[in-house]
Amino acid sequence: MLVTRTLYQSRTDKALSWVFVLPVILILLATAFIPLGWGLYLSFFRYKLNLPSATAFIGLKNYLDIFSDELTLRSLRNNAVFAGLSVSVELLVGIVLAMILSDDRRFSRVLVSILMVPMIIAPVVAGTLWRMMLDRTYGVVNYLLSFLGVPGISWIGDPKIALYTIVLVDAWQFIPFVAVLVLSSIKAMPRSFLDAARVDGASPWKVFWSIILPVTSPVIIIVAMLRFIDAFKVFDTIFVMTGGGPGNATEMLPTYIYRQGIKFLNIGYSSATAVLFVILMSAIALVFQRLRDRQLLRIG
Amino acid sequence: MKTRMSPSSTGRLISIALVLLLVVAGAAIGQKKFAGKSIRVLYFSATYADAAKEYAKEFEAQTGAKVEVVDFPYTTLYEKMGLALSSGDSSYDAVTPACQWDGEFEPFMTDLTPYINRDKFDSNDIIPGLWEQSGKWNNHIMGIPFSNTPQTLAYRTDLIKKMPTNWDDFFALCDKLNNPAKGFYALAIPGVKEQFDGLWMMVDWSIGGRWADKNWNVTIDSPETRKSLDIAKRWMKYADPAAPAWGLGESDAAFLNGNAAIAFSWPTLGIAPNGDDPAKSKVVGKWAIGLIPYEKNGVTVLSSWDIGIPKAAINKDVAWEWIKMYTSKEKQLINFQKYSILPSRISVWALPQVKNSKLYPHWQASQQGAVIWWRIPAGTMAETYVRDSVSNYITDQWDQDKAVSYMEDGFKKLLADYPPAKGVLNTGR
Repeated sequence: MLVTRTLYQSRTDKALSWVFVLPVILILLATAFIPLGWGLYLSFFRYKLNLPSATAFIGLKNYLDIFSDELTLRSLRNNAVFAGLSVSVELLVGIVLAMILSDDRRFSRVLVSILMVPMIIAPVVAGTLWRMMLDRTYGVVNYLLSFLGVPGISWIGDPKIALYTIVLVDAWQFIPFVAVLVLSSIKAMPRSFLDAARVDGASPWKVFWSIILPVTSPVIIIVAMLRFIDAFKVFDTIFVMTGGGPGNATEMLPTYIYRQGIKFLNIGYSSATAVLFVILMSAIALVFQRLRDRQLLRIG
Repeated sequence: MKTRMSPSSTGRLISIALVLLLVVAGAAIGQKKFAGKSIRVLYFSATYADAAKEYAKEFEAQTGAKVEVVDFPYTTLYEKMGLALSSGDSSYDAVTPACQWDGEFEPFMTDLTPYINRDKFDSNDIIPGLWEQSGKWNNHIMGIPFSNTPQTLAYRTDLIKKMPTNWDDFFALCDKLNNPAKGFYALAIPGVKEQFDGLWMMVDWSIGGRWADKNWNVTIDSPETRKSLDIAKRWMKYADPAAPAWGLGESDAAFLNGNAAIAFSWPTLGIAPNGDDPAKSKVVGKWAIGLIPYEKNGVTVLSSWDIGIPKAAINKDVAWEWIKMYTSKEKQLINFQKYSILPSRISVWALPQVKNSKLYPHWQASQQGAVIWWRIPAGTMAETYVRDSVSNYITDQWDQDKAVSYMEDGFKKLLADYPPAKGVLNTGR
């Protein structure tokens, strides 16, 4: 009788858990899986929304065109460079900032609040502001630099540096995000680790390198993953600051997909590009997840 | 026992009935034709929308119908309009496509011919040739053109006596005027690719270049294309170094601030409305409109907007009344005087207020020839090949061979994937 009751309870628990999870599944189905599946289906067609008569099944041609389309490849390259650079800068400066703010002085708490300001500005607003400030002739940045004897820099008009300018703007906006999350991870660390290290005569650098960094690394990896994915999805800043120019110097995959799908109504091709984009993002997330799991195992 | 109504009661009833009848009749006479109805109209966020917003109250007073004017910037108007039309959305009762979008949007637009014939619309007053480029497509009338703007330039009359008519003299003038050490440049140019490509086009066509012949055989790889690319690249030597990142607003501002001698622009959008306003301009009374230098012909780029009724529109009759009002002779004169919207009507161009205005050189440019690029459904995509190509070339990211071959390969692919309908010839360039 006891065994039957346990089995019954187990089945009831299982059924109940499905009931609780079902709304989420339905929402995900409606908002994510079905649209993705429909996009996958459309990616096998030549389909222009305002030219339905030209619709034709073309199999994998859209995908093959992507790999021979110079602009798609350039967008992907720009995206990778942008994501790599901006995340690196954000992590480096964010961790240093988190260390500086990790003491409990009132000054630190006030500084955290001030640092949050760029984070809460909408990317469109931030992009517009920076576009004006970075104007080569009329912008305040070059004006201030002129006092140091620096000649005017064409921050967003020179194709050699426009991409790095966008990296700096993105870093300005999201360094606080990294700093705040790493800071909370530092604060959650048991104090005994640090106290023990200090008692043993460890230098501040040794404490950071051998204790703080390993213990907070799982959080840092997750932050890096989030920022990397966000950096790959960048759209607003590019749209308002450069429109992908000069030329295609700052064209990114999201702006390119937008151009194909919304501007040209070229649904088939943009769906194929979007599908590949999703696969790429999933692969990146998986890599970071594995990295984090391995790190968790290392630190026990 | 039956009782009959007394004569006085009957009379009272009849009187009440007569009074009620009079009240209803009075209300019917006072009620406007489209009372209780409303329309939503879609415009480009510039002077055209401003004019529409001004007329909305007047239209309501005349017809009883409310008008909601929705506007978007040029960069997003195409996709908003395209998505609404191609999805059969009935949000808009009237839309204002740019003429280069006509071929794409025509299948979703109402043919206005029955309305024009029914109300005897004065079609003969529309500038000949304009309607064929803006509003007519595939033997349908999908819109009435309400603006006719050939691309011109603005120049400083205190520095330039007469605008050169060829590019050699033009660059000689730029050499003379350019003074970067003093922050003064010969040229104010919008360098962002969505503006710059139009500038390149007008040079290419004015020296005899074409994207394709009338039967859609691609002819973009030509000496004219290569020469026009070089001319466009040479402009940048005389422009503010910030120009590659400038939109039309920034470029016009540089001219209005007195920092440039010549502005490549659409002067009616920014320079004309503000040029003689001391609060917004440092070149009051010192500017004029000039024609683009040319070598073979005076052909320049046309910007024209037409207004039509989507097939999915709900209040088509009201929308037609709005179109008639907005494109009327009276309103086109107000549009011109107050909003610098160049008229599409011959009779308005002939008025002394227009003939004597600073904007009259646009009429000459129009007579010399103003054309739009491909109006076929693949036209927007074709223009993007031009944008990318020209922008990458003038910023030294591509060499000339690559820029030309990119356009050529792109055009050929587009025409293969989305061929023009049978019988449709290339009447543009």
